[in-house]
Amino acid sequence: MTFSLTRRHAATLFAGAPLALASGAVFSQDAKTLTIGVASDPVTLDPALMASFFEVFVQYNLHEPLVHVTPDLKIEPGLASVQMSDNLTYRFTLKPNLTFHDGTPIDAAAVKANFDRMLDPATASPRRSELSPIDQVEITGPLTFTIKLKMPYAPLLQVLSNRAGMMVSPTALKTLGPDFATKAVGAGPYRVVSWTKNSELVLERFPGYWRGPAPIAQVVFRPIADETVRLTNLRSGTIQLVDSVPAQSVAQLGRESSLVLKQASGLGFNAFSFNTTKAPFDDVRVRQAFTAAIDKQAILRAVFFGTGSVAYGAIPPSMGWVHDKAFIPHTADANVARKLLADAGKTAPVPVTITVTNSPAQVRTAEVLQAQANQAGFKVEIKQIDATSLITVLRQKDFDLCMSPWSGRTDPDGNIYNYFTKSGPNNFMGYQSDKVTELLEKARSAPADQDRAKLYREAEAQIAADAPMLFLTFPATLQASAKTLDWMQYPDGAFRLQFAKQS
Amino acid sequence: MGRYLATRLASLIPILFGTSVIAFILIRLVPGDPAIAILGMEADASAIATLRQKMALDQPVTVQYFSWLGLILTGDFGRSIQGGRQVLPLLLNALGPTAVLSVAALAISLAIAIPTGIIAAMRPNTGADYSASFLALCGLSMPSFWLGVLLILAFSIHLPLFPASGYVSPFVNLGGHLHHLVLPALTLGAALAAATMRMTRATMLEVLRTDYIRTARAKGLPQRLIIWTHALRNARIPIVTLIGIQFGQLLGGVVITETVFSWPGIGKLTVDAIFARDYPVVQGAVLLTALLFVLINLATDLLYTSLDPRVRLT
Repeated sequence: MTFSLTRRHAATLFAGAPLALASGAVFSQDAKTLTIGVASDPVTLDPALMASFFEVFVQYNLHEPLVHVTPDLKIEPGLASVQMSDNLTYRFTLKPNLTFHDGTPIDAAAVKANFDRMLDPATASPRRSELSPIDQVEITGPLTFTIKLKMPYAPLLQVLSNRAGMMVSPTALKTLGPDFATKAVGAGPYRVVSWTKNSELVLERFPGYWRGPAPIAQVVFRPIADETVRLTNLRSGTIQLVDSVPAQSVAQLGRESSLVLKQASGLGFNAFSFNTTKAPFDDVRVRQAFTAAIDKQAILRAVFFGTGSVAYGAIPPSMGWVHDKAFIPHTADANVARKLLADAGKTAPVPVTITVTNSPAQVRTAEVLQAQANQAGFKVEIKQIDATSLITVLRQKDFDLCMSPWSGRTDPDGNIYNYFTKSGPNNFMGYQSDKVTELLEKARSAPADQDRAKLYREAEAQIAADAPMLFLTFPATLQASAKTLDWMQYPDGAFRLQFAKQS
Repeated sequence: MGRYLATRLASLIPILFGTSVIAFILIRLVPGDPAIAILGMEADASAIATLRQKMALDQPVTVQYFSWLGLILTGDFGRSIQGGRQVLPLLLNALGPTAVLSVAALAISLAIAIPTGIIAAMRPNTGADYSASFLALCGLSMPSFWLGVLLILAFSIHLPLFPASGYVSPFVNLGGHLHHLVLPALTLGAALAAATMRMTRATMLEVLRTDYIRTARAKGLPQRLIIWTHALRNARIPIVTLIGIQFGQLLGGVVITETVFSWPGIGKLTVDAIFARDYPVVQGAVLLTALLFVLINLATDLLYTSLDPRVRLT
């Protein structure tokens, strides 16, 4: 190698620079494209198989549910309007002349095919359990169909405003086969152009959308795993909208004039399940002692930087018709905790393990819990696991106290039934209360909202007394955008970009 | 030479077989069930059972292994458990961006490391040497997630020259592709340069102490000729070895740089697949990476013969 050769090498290297600079147009976005930074790629675009939180951001842009839910959680018509004949019969009428992205007509037969697919055990759809109260879907005309229930099920319309109500093209299901998961054909405001894993999911507006074409022509979802990098991209203008703003950045973002931070009370909760099937937490007094030892305000400040609110139950303030602000069943007091432990015959510090996933916020939460519980007579050890193992650990009850956060649903039933009924699939605690199960069954079938609210409040009081779960906080939905973007925030954190405009 | 090549290529078979067995078993030893991972919190027991059956996870591990191996031999790597993409195109699509990033980063690292390594060796224990070593130490100690964010702050926000993240296919827009490549390649190149610079300095120091260099100096050859023609030529073999190893490792994926810059490479793909217990993708990725690593080592060995005519491969 000679010097001149090296120089030539260097010249070749730098020759790339002017070329690169000349292509500045690539990242200075034109107003017709909206680029969104999300924490992770979706796993699948097929609503029948969606099971992760990472699809929430994409799902309503690609798919349209039968009914729509407003930011204050009211039901409105979507693809269909609905009338209840009685509390077991729901009559739906589809809007006329609508098609899926591939031109297949949206008619009663297509809807029935969607329900049949979700309810077929061979599909292994996570929707099946939500739709289990359905007895039959009956086609009554080209655009009308009736859903008959086995038992009254008040949350049905809220369920149908989510993944279970998202209709996909039966033709595309047949022609695409297993590729449907990456090329989904739905009826939402946008349709798939391309999806490169870990790079970008590109959607273009669908001219045949029932509300009319969306104002923004193209939407690009880009997975950016690191929260700092995601915000840096927003500041640089590379992206114009981000989800999952870290709580510690909220104050700083509020001061930046080119950005807008939006926060809303979310639908979910941060909580830890007690394993009530083995010592020491099989004793209600030990669970109450641990609960009494924890100062939730301290967690809200130290981990969530004051965003969101403290939680005493599963139903968040965003469900204003059920949530009771005055419901504060216990306060933090180490002396009360020590007394409860003494009553339970525990004199030496009680050894317990807290299981959390290895994310910074969860580990910090566990450390605060550890410090507080240790002062009240526990000897806490922290065990870190990876996020994928979490559900297995919970299902196998391989824990003393394990994080079990829930992203939440628009109906209280979706936050509480699966967790606290005796055979609920998310009853990781092994909590067996006949009273609570009965109350939750009744709340599900009571027709009037005020009756349901009363039943849920009663159930929450009983759950607080039995303390099978340590509720900590209701997280806020934290999202930020460029000031030039006009968009609406929903408590579920989902983006519904048919309502967004860029100036 | 032909026989050498044949032996080395034949040795690929047991290596890949061994790798496939290890990859297959290791990923199954990680706790966490793929069916539960896919279905999440909302799944009921019957859905989990159906899915396990669909994915043949209810079969004995040996049956699973040999049916997978049989398909691999026909070129069918299966489909990703997460999202149902075909594994081979998924891997190859991710390998391209990683390869481009690796080559660019290596080029940057060589452009930095070789000159600074030589300067440091020519003037050992002087200010120039110390500053070069200090720079190398910085390069080695700066974690790429930190340097990456720093570069984004400097060159995307304060001085908006380059995009903060993302990837554009070279087939769509070559200019855009190179534009997006600069920051990740710099981030990665800085870390690689440090090791190469230290290696260049050490081998050059050794060579510069040899008799033939003293003879060249005694003959009155100009310093430039001694360094670049006589000394560097003999210092190349260890440097090439190091670069070969670096390249092999890079092709296995550069997870952190890929993550910071949303670069759709094979490293992030593999790590995500491990976290999601996406068995077919993990197995395929490990096999592909092993294959590339062995091939690059082989290429490095072949390169020796052209760098040093005394080397004979038998």
